[in-house]
Amino acid sequence: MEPTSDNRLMEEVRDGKVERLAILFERHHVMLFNFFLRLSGNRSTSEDLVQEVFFRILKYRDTYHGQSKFIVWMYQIARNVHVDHLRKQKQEVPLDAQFEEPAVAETPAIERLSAEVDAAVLKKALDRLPLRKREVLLLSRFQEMKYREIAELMGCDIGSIKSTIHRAIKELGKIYFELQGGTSP
Amino acid sequence: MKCEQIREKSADYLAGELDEKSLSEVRVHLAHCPACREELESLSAIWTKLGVLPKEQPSGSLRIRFYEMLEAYKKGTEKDRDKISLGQTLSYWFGRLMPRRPAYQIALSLILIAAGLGGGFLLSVRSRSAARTEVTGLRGEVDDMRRIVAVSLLKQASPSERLMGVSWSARIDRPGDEIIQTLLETLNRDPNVNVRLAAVDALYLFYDHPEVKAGLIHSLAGQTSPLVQLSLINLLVEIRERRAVEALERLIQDEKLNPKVKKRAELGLTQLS
Amino acid sequence: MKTIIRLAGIMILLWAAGLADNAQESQADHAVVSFSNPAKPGTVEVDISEGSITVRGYEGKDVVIDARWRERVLTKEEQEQEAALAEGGEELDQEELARKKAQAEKAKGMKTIEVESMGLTIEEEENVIQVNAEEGKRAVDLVIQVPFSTSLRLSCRDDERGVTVDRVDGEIEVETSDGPIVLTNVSGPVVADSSDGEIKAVFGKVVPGKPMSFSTMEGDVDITLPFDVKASLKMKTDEGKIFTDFDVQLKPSQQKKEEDERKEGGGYRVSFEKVTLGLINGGGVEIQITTYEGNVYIRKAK
Repeated sequence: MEPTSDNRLMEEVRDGKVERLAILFERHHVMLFNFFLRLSGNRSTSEDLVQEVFFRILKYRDTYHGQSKFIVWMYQIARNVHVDHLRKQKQEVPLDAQFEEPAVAETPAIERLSAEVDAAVLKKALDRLPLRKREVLLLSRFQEMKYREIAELMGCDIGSIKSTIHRAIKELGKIYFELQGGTSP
Repeated sequence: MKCEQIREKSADYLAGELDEKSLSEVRVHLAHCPACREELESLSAIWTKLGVLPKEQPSGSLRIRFYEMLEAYKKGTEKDRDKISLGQTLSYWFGRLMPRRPAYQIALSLILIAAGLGGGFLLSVRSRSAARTEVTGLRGEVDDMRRIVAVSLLKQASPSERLMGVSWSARIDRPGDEIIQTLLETLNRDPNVNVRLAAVDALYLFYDHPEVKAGLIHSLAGQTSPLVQLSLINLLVEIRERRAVEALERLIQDEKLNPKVKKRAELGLTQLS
Repeated sequence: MKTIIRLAGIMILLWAAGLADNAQESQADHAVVSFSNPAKPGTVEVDISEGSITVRGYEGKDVVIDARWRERVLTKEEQEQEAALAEGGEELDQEELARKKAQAEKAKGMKTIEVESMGLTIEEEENVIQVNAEEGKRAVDLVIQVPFSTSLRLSCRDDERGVTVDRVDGEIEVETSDGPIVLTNVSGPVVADSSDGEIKAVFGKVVPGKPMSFSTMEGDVDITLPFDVKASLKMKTDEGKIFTDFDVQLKPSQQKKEEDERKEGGGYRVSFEKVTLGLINGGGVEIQITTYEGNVYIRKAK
């Protein structure tokens, strides 16, 4: 049996079969969680934000019009949820300071697998990337959205998304190699 | 192709979105242009490297919170009302909402009050007949949801989540065979005593379902925990299941049987005969 | 990546062979194990057939395991042998004596190796650390330090000492056969069962949303909850009493949910076991307590 498409499911939710949202939840909540985790660095905040996204999906289900892909709509909501969350943060806390992980310099001298070290440094680099570049990068590289869809969701033209990607990766590379140089965070 | 165009195409290149023609044009340019080649290679390297970032799993409470919210929302849209007073319903749900999210409490209280006020307030605007079928169909849909949730939770590694799964199955109005089988399987095979005990309680609610009685009797022989044995015996006696007599007799003969369970089983025999 | 260590009466430190301390202690073992991903809460699973388990939360990122082996309890036969040997060999014939002496010598020489074969196995895979005791006659007392957010699955059998957990915030699953279960400064959820031991749990706070359950045949169940906890209690005790200093709103003893449309003449169904349902502060976290002979104490934390 063909699994029902996201769009169709959301339309059913909009039309009253609210429990269908459970299927959409099961399909997308892990990706959504990772998206927030890579934006905020905090696990419990990320869980709260995922919850908030689905709450808003329920609250505003009437406004879903099926012309956009469900995923585009969901990530629009996700970005808004994140922005609202940032506004609530009283101070401008540099994002990498919110991290739960130990800074790379704190890693014990004991040898770890190089992939693990890589991931830690890369993560740190990612967090130093300015927000917009980071969002676009995450949406394309991890949430696997097409540039056209990202453009739609962010309300700009596709050309600007592509050049943002280019600049984002360039900058990420730069930060990454700087960090690898062993400078303390 | 000029270097500037390479820059424009880099995003598509990385995402694998270039068509055949553009891809070969890019490759031709790279063959002659070390600067662009170097840049594109380093961009590719980072793009690929991002794959080492692990995919994290959220904690189990995320799922639970979601399903509780969904059920609360669903309840708010139901036309049927529980026989409990609305006030009690509100306090029951408030008790279950996360204290950290007052926004939810307010939103949900509005939903519940609206349901009390007019029921149809939250149903989407549809034709009258559609609305009516929706109402009678609602109960089946709520069951559907509970079934999905229960089955999903019963597969989890955390015993607390499995307890939640049993609790959700107990709330299903018209359990199908799938749920009954799942509960019986939980009773027979769950590694945790507490979960098995909860399964007995849940099965009690469905004892008039055809397979439950036979399943309970059959389960008695296989249980090793005295608490579960006691619970099963109590249940079988309560529902006056005479077919359990044979199983009880066999149980009593087991030398390893806990003496307290034996006592109860013997008492049960007299009660059933 | 899977990591395996075997403890065998020798101190071993994971990861850093260079830091290994070569001091040998035949009765105590020590190991430090890291989670694959220390940023994420991990799980520690312990399964020993005889001994006790003590777990304490601490600020570190690694799991520190100390194992103390108890002296093997000699069987009756072995005791007689030792007694005979101690008294001198006159009662035994020469051959017998020689054989027993040789055996004792052999055993002496082999003692270290015996210890090595009855050890602990520690495995780490994807943030789950498993500690297993091999089947043997020696009981082991484990003292384990874990990061606060760790979840635990503990299983052991013992007469006196059972399982003790302090200052751990993750999910806790415990089972013992006669040993007591004592949990302090935990936040749950807790799923605990003991055949005969008593269960005591003192919650610093309670994580809402996840149900808990405690069951024991003979022991008491003694739970302390924060004064503002929102909980829905379901308590069953066949022969004991229930005590509480909370203001518990008791609901009529019923197993069935309130709606009862399947039967004519509606109403509530009588429950099949002596169940007491109570709501604390309006109800919330579902807590199920079952004991056959013991008493149930629900205390309010001051």
